[in-house]
Amino acid sequence: MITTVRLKVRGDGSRVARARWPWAAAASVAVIGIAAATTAISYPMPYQSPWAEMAIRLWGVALLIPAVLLWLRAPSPRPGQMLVTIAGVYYLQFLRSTDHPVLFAAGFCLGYLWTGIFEHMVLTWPTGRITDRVQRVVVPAGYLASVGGQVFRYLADHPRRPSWTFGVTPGEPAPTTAAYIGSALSVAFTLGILAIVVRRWVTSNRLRRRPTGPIWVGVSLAAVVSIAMAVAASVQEWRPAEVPILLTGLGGGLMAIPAVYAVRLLRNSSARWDLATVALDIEDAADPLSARHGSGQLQKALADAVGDPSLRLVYRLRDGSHVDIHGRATSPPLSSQARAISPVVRRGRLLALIEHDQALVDDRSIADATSAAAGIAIENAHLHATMQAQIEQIRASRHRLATAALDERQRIQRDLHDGAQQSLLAILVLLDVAGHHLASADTGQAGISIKQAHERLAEAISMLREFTEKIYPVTLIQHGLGQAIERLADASPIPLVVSVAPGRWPLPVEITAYFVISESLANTYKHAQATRVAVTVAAREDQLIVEIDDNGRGGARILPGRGLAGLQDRVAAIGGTLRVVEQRAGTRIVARLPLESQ
Amino acid sequence: MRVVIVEDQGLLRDALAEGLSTHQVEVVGLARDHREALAAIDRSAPDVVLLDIRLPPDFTDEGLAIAEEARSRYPDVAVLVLSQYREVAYAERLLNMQEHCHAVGYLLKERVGNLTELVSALQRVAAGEIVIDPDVIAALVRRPRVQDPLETLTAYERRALTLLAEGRSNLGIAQVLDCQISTVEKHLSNITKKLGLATAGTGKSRHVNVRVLAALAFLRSNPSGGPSTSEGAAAATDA
Repeated sequence: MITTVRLKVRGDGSRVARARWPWAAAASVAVIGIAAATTAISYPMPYQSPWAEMAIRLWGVALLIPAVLLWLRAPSPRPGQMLVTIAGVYYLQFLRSTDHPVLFAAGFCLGYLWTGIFEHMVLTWPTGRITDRVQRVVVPAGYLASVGGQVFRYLADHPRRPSWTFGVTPGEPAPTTAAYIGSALSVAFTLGILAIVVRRWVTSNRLRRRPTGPIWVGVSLAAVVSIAMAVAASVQEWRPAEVPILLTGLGGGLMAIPAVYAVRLLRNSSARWDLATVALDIEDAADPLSARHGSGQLQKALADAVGDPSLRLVYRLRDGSHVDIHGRATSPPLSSQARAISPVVRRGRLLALIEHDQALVDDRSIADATSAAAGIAIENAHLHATMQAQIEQIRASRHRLATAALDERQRIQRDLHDGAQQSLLAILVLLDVAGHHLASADTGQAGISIKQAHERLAEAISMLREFTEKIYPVTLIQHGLGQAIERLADASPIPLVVSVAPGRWPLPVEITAYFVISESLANTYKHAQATRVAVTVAAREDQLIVEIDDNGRGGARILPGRGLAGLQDRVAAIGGTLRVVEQRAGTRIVARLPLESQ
Repeated sequence: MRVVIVEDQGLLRDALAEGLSTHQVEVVGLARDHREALAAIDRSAPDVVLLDIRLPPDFTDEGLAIAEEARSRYPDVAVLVLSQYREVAYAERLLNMQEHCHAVGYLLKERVGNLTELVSALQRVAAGEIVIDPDVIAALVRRPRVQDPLETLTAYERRALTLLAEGRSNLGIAQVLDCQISTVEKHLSNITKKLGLATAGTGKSRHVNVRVLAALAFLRSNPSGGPSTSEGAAAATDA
């Protein structure tokens, strides 16, 4: 199962990669071509050690690796495309070492174009799109500064060729005004971009910081180094040996951004793998026999996987209610400015809703991977939650039934005590009195007492009969529902119209139907102020439909702890349903009792 | 009058036997269950069998089974059944035992508290009459009804209908109401017209069971008189 999940995740990623890679490959070939051509024209640079020069010349090709990786794997290909462009354009600066005047001019003027592209990429990270006003101003300004500054210097200083080894040529004349201006512009720009990146970092929340994290680190490093270089170039107080160190720092700093991001991409794959493993763990955890059962691990695993501790996983039941993993009712997730909801749909059915930080919406690949990897686990968890919810309902209904049974017993005890027992005691006294009269040979008085006792006893007996008839109509078992309801008509204070389909049904169904009817009638007599009530029992192939319909004032509700809720429990106990139908006048209660036990 | 008593409770059985003996009733046999009852009937050829409905082994309606068996063996033996509960269905089963069933009675068991009444009922069934407990009939007559058709009857006619349902013959009704048989016949004819009871006028005692059954069926039927039932029925049918 794990394998399936993993392959599925990879499959999604590689579909994107397959569409992108021809372009990325072509661009890479072009970059390598440019690197080879410029090197062939400009090698070797004057005054440079071969090692330092090799490091400098290989940087662009090295950048190609994370750049292509980004192009293929990142949600948006643009940053990767820009990095590949940077790798190619980077080599233009080497043309400053050629003797050819046109190539030299091109190399001199476009030598820093790559920094403009770099700024563009940093400012528009991670989408590569210019969206706000700051970007719209700063990005063109970056290009203008990186190219325009050099053009200005070319025109102002008429540099000699070959004049260049990273701006530090022993025996060179002191930097010109134009060079100072270029350096100052470069420092100012670097600081400005740094400020923008830092501001973006500070103002975004934790989840949003994550994709910009490597940028922040890389840009800071690169900015520090390039400021140092610009300052150093201006004051010219460094020795040639320090140049490679600074260059390595700059290269490392710039390389850090794509490198860190590439590592992150690779780690993401393994995070998906982890997630799949977690999913299997969760399946174990969802096993009711497991010790870890019900610890809400899936929610935690998802929260960890996407880095949003506030993530909430809410399961949706068939009846539209929302529960947690323990089957307890919970509030449905709400969408707001800060919170977003991702539905989890499996086989066309909405199983769960993931409520999470809005920032994750931008991070589609992770959210999708989460859904894909955890889908099966969520399906299982949904099953588990559904089961828990049912168990919870059954538990509650059992508890109510048990309470109802106790209430019933207490009522019977009270009735017996208040009725029959008191009458029997009275008879006991009357007979004792009669005995005394007989002892004193007063047969007349004795006869009166005996007659009274006889009357009281007849009363007590008929009271007892009515009482036992009420507990359980014997006729229900012997003659069926029709006869039993017939009896209820005798006791009805208002006209009771009975229509019962002929036939016998399983005893539990008949008993439940009888109680539904007798309890509903009791409710009607007590609350409805009706002038008539109709009882209808209709048989279907697979169910018995019982209706009690009065013309009273209506407004009956199934409220917890009330008579109707107790009835609902009884009906649910045999797998049926009970509902109160809204109508213009009166109350209609409809119970559907399955004839086949479920 | 020779009587066999079928009652599983020893105390009550002996008390009944003793009590009836003091009322010029000859108790010729005592039995506790189906087997003993039929043995006693075979042996002593009673005029009346006095039965409890609830008997061993199941305490449901064993008494009715004994009554049926006894009647199939001795078509002339009278049967008086005592019931703990007021169940019209039992009475109807008794009256349906034979096509023109007579000499059967259905009383609530608490009638044993008044031996005079009990003996009178025994005498009536022994004479071939039908006896239905007045309480059973009273409860049926009392039932609230929508547009109650019984309200079209005069008090006298109502009383006559009640007596008819209790199993009285025209002569019996006349005796109770202290009037001429012709007056009773006139009342019954009116009731027949007003309620549409086809057989109520039949005077011969051997067909009394038919008119009692008709009266019971009429009293038990609850004509709706309003649209409420049909709506409910329609809803149930549609569902």
